[in-house]
Amino acid sequence: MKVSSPVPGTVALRRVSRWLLSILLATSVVACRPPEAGGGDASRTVSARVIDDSPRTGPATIEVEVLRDGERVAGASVRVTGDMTHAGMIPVVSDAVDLGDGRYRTESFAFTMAGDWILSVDVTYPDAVTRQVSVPLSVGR
Amino acid sequence: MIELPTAGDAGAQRPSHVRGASVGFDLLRIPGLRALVRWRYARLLFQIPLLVLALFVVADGLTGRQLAPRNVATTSVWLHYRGFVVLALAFVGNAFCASCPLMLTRGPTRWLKRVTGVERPWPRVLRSKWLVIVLLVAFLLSYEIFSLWSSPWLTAWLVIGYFGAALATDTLFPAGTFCRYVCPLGNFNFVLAHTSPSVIAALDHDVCARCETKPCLHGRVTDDASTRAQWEAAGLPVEGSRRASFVPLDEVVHPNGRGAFPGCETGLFVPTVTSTMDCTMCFNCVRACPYDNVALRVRAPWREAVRDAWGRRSWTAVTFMGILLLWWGLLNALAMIGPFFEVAAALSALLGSRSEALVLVALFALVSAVGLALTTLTFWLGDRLGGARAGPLRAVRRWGSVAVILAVGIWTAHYLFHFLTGALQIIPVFAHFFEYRGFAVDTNWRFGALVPSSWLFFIGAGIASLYGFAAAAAAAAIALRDFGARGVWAMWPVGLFAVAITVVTVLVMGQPMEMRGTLLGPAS
Repeated sequence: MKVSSPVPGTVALRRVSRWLLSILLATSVVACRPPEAGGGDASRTVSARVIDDSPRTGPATIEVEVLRDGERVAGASVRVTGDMTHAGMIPVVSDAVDLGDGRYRTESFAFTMAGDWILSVDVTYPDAVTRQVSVPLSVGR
Repeated sequence: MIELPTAGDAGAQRPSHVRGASVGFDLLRIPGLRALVRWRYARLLFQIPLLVLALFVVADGLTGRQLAPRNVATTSVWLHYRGFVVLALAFVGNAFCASCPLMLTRGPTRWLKRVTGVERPWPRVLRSKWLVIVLLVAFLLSYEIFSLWSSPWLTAWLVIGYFGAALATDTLFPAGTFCRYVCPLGNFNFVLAHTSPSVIAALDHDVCARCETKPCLHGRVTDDASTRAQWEAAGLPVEGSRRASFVPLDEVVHPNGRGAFPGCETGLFVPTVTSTMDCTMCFNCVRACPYDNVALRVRAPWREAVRDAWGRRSWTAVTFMGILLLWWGLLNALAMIGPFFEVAAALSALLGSRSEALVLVALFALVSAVGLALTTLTFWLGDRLGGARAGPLRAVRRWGSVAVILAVGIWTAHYLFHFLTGALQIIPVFAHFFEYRGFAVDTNWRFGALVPSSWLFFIGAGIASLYGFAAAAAAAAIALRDFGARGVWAMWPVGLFAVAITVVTVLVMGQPMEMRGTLLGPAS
C-alpha cells in the first residue's frame, strides 16, 4: 500500500487552523451583545416621552409614566438621564417630580447639543423594585 | 566589521567620532533616554499599558453597557486614542506606533512561523501604499456606515480584528509587513508624522558607510565569539545573511546586552532616512547598531516638506494618500455639523435611495474625485506659473507636502476638539466599568471637558490657522526652491489653496456640532 507523506507544514497548519477556529468560535460565543438592564417582570412598564414632539437643543420637559399591571403607580422615584451617542459627552441627569397620578415630569432637563440622544429612565417602585428603559431620539438645532 | 574603538567595559563612553557629530539636537542625549531606548524591553514597557487598555476595551465593549459615553471601548478608542495620537504627532512623533500593542503578536507569529513553516514574500504588486489607501477608505467608510463611534460592541470587534489581522499578516509574510503595507491607522500616523518634530538619523555617516553588515536594517546577534557556532546551529544568524549578522560581543562599541537584536522591520536604513514615513519609532535600529550611531534628531516641522523628502523618492502613492487624507479629514469634520445632513438628504433624493451606505459611498467618491482634481489642478497651475512643463503627476509630487500639512491641521483640530470636550470622562467611565460589574463605586459623571467650551472654537481655529499658515509658507519655500525668481508667481495658486482650505476648516469649526448616528434621519 502506498502511503503519501504530507507536505511539510501541512499537518501543523491544519492543527493551528483548528486552534484558531476554536478561539474564534469561543470568542463569538462570549461576544454576544449583552442584554441591557430592564428585563424581568413584564407587569411593570415604564414609558417616557418628550412633551415637545420635535425636541430641540435647550430646555425640554420629559414626562414618564410608571405602570404596574396596567395601573399607574404613584410614589416611585424616577431619574431621567440623557446621553449622546458619541463618547465624551457629559450626561444630562434630572430627577422627575411626582405629579401624583403615576406620571412624573422633569423640571430641569436640557438637551445640550443637536444630534442623536438616548434617554434612560431609572425607576424605583415604592416596593424598591427597579426598572430601566432607554428611548432613542433625535434632537434638532 | 569596521575598525572602531572597542569598549568592553561597562562604563564606556560613546566613541569620540560620534560625540559632537553635527545632527542638530539629538533627543537621545537627554539624560537616561538613550539608556532607556537601548534597553531590550523598552518598547514592551510602553506597550503593556496599551495592551491592558485594549483588554479593557474588549471586555467592556463585549460585555459592558452598550452606551458609547458610558463604555471604555468607545470612550478610550474614539476620544482618547485619537486625541493622544495627534498630540504625540505634533509634539514628539509617531509615539503610538512605538507603543502599539499589536506588535506583541510577534511572539505568537514567530511560533506560528516555526510550526507551520509558512512564510511568503509580500507580493511585489502590493509593495506600495495603494492597498493602504483602499483600506483607509474602507475604514473611514465603515466608521460612518456602522457608526463605530457609537457602538462599544463593534469597537471591541474592531480591536479584536486588528489583532487578528496583525497576527495573520505577520505570520504569513515577513515581520513588519502589516505595519508598512496593511495597517490603516499606522499609515495614517506615518502621513501625519510628516510634520513631526523628530526623525531618526545617523550620528556619523562615515560609520554607516564603513559598516559592512548594516545591523540597523538586518538586525544582529551578539554573544561571545566562541558561541557563534551555536547560534549558527540554531539556524538564527549567519553573517551576511539578509536576516541578522553575528557581531561578537568584543566588537560592539557600546554593549547593551547579549542575544538577538532585530533590525528595522519596515526596511529603513538609518543613514538614508530623510522622512518619518514607515518609521514606527520602535528604536530597533538604536538597539541593533553596534556603534551606538543612531540619533533621534529634532527638526523643524516643515523640514520634510521643504526638503522634498517624498518627491525625491517618487512616492506617488504616499503623496496621493496625503492629499486624500486632507479631503477625507474635511469630510469627516463636515459630518459633525448640520449642513452635512442636508447635503446627504439632497444626494439621497438625487440617487433615489435612502440607503445610508450608498449615500456615504457616493459622498466619499465625490469628495475624493473632486478633491483630487482640484488639488492636482492647483498644483499643476503652480508648476505652469513657475515655468515647469512636466505633467500633473510631477506637480502633485512637488507640492503634495502642502496638502499633507493642511491635512495634519484638520485632523488635529478635529480630534482635539473631541478630546478636549470629554477627556476627563475617562474617570467616570472606568468607575462605571467596575460599578456595572457590582463593585461599590459611586460614579461621578460631572467630569468632562478639559477646557471651557467657549475656548473650543478658538483652539480648533487656531490649530487650523497655524497649519494653514505653515502650508502657505511651505508653498512659498517650495516655489522659491524649485523655480527661483519665478517662484514668486508659482507660489500663489498653492498658497491661495492653503488659505481657502483653512478658511473652510475654520468655518466648519464655527458651526454648532450635531452628532448623529443616522445620516438620513430616524426614518431611514
